[in-house]
Amino acid sequence: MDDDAHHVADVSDFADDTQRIIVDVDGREVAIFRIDGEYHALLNYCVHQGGPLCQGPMTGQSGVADDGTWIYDDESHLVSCPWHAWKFDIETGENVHDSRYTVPKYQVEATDGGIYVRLSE
Amino acid sequence: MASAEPATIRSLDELDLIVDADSHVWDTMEDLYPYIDDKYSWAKRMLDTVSGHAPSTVFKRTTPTPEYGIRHRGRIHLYRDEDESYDLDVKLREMDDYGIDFGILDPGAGLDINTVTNTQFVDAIMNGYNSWILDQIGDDMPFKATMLAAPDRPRQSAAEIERVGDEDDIVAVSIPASGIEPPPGDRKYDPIYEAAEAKGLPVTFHGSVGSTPQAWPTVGRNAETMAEAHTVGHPLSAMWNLTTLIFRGVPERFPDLEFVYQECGLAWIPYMMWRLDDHYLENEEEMVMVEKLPSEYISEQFYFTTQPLGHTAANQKHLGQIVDMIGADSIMYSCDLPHPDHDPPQELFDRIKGSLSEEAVRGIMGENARELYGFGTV
Repeated sequence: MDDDAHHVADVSDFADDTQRIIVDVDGREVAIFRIDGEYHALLNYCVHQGGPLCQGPMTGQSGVADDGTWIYDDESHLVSCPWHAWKFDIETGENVHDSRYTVPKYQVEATDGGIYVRLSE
Repeated sequence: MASAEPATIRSLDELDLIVDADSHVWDTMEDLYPYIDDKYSWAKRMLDTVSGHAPSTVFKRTTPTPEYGIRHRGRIHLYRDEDESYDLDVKLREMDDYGIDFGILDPGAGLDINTVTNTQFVDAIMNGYNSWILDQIGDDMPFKATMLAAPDRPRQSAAEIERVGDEDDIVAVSIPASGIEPPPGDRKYDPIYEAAEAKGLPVTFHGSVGSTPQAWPTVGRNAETMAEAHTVGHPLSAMWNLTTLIFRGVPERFPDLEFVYQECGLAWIPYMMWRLDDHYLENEEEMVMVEKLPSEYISEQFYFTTQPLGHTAANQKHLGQIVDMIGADSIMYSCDLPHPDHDPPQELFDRIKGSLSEEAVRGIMGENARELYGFGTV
């Protein structure tokens, strides 16, 4: 790995897909999520009012079926800020309702059993 | 931005068009009766025995003290004729006094149609009102009208929209806004919204203090004075109605439908825009019918008439700031003639001329109404 890649965890640290690990990377709190075998890294900072976004519950998404029945899609992967419940897509960092609110996300990859994050684009 | 450049208009005389977007008629049972279709023969037989606004036998409106009572003893209208009538010729005299060029006519007593519990009366009054109002507007008169819909009778209201919605003088569908049970976001009302959208007619929501207790029982049980009931009645209804409309997805289901809020003034709107957006963002799990920020629906599909502005005289900038927060394109001047809390055009103009652009001022005072309702000059 190159010098920009920070070793933040090991694959063996994730027991299942709903787990997340929050680590310090050069002074930034970054959350590593594993979803369906893929890793995603978001800044642990809610762009609403600065809450610890990534420590909130992981949820699916509410919606409405064609016949008007309200449904819950647990295939969606959102994280809900513990302060005001603003919800963000873990895979994109975008607020589920308004993409003008987007949490910084970082490149993350798993190599040789290690998980690495790059803070630069 | 509306406030980016100062207005160059210094006088109302410089305006080409001033529209009262909430101008009430005085619709008595005697007026409507001859216009009720004979197919409502049972209702006609019963209604032949009532007169005036029938505030207890047909309509069930209540206020804690007489509605306009001591303030306007015998003079609810500026130019009430000696015989107490208030027809459009009397209204034209009032408008001429104030320099108002055009009026959007709204029901008076009809705004309490949702307090009428006899369904046959509801259908008959709605039918009679809509035929009567069309007959009141002469060929050269500077008026258009909203037609009356009855929230408790969605299917029958849709049939009325089909019957008169294509008339040139009908420019919107008026839905009584106070005391609607369930609130207007409920799917029960979809036939009305669907019919209005199909005809290209906005829906207007206009409350009534007398019907407020149907949805806000504490106002009916505990208000000690008319002032108490009137102060909170219109805003309570407007805030609740707006909230249910947006959160239950009515503007989402009817994207070509436009909504007009009347009789509530302006200052509550920025507060509600912030509050609705905030709750939308914080309650994702409940927002299944909402696809964008509530304030975006409001900007794109909602309009607000200005009266009653409230006591705005203490500061010359605040009303312009409120307009800027809402968006000048969404606002239409209203006078509310002939009611005693009406706002003459000068009341609004003086507060906005110094802080809004000329285009914004012209829009608010008349052009926005002309564009929304699609009428020409007379």
